[in-house]
Amino acid sequence: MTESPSKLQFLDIIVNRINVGIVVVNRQFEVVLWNQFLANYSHVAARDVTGKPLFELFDDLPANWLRSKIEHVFELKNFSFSSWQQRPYLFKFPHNRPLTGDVDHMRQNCTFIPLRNDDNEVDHVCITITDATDTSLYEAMLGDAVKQLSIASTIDSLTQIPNRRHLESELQREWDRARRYQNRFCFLLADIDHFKAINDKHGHQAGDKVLQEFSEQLKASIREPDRIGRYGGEEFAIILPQTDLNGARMLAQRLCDTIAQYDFQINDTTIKVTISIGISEYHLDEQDSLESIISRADKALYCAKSNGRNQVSTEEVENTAAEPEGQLSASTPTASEQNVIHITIGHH
Amino acid sequence: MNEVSYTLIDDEHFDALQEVVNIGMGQAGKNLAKVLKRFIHLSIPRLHQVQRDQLADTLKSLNQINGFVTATRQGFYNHWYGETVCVFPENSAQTFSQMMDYFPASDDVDENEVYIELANILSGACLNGIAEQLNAQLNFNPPSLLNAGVAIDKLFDVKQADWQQTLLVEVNFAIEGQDLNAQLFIFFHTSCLDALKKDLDTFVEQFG
Repeated sequence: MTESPSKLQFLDIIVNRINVGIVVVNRQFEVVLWNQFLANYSHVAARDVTGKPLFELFDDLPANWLRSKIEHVFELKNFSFSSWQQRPYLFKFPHNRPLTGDVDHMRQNCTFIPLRNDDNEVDHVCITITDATDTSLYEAMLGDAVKQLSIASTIDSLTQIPNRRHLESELQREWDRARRYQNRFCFLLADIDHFKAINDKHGHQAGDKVLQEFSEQLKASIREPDRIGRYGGEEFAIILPQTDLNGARMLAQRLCDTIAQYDFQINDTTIKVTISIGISEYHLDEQDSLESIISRADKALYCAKSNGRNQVSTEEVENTAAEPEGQLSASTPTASEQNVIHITIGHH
Repeated sequence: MNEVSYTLIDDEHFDALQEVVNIGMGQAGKNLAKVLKRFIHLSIPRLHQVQRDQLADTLKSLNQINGFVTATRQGFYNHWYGETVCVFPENSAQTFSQMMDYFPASDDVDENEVYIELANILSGACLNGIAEQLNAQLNFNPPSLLNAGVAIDKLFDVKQADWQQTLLVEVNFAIEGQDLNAQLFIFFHTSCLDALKKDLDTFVEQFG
């Protein structure tokens, strides 16, 4: 069967102008066809490779793997493939983004095609090489974006500590662990006292700054296995694994004292801040529910507030009126207390 | 409402296809043994006409692999049109790679590369085995990972699919000397069934 000359001319032009590398090898792995794409990227002309063994010409090819791959095509008479995701490239070529791309060599997808002769035997293999660099860069960008998104969805953007959703999942995990291994843990709710007043007096930016600085202090006050998170506007939660109520109370009191003594520098002003903390403990023998643990901490926090703020209250503590210490003026332990602004910002 | 269920392929064609597939798979087994240097025991291929909403149940009933699975998929076109799904026991990549001598004998083996390579070999051998019997020529697209570490009936979600039924050929590969098997599901798209039936007619005429 003879092809018309013009069709053959077309094929020749197409093979050498197409944006795909095409190389054909025979059973001795000698190059029988080498198109312009490959000549351009390798800087080796077709006339210099034709008839020569492929592996001798390019000694940085993954020879063992490639040889086996080609042999399988001869034996199985079947297509084979190589994806950039498993193997970044066959030939070390520069890519089409020398200035804007952030990758060392062209990423390549390869197809191995069995070519049959008139006796229907596979006597040649055609390897096509496609530039997949763009795809690989897009996939890397996608991967980064997903990572950033998952970080963003677990971190509170203002304070840069875990957000409530993340903390709640940590709490769930801790609770599961505690039930399985019969461990103790404590749950703390810490609330910045008179936060609304701080906002009103010094502005919201100052309030944000207080939250940020408090978060820094909070991070510094905990140990490695402990977990913290921003639970609400000015409310923070702490999970203390392997800790009993006494241990939790000590940590909480230390935190309270640290904050009370800390100078919050907001622009040119020094602000003093106190916090109240409520603590609950996971009860081993009662198959304690998460809802109950949170609720008891909340009630304890309420106690701390009612008893004058700037203090720690645990779930076992009765509602006794303790004398509060601190720079803030004493407040009466009534339910309406939280809405009354009794605040003196001390200058110390 | 009277639901008319029509068969994709009548009994005669079904029987012919079963015979073609048996021969084709036998040939495939021989070729595979040469390449994998081990005896591969192929089960007798099973043919099924599957409705889309029964797919998960069908896969489950045909399943020969214990525990969770990892699977690849690969499209084929030209004379026929469809997709193969190759199913492996999860975490079996290391064991399989030791059978294929061009993977380095180290822990650096890319697991996905092993599944994809093996899937290509198995799919290609089986489909070409069948195609050869019917003088058909097939082109293949690169295989890719479908799902990893899932139950067989959760492999792929067909809620958005535009097909209602498919012709399924299933075969199981047991590796001699290993407690290891892989399973191949070949799905023929309905659009190529007329061509397939013509090919089977030609086959039957030739061999009676």
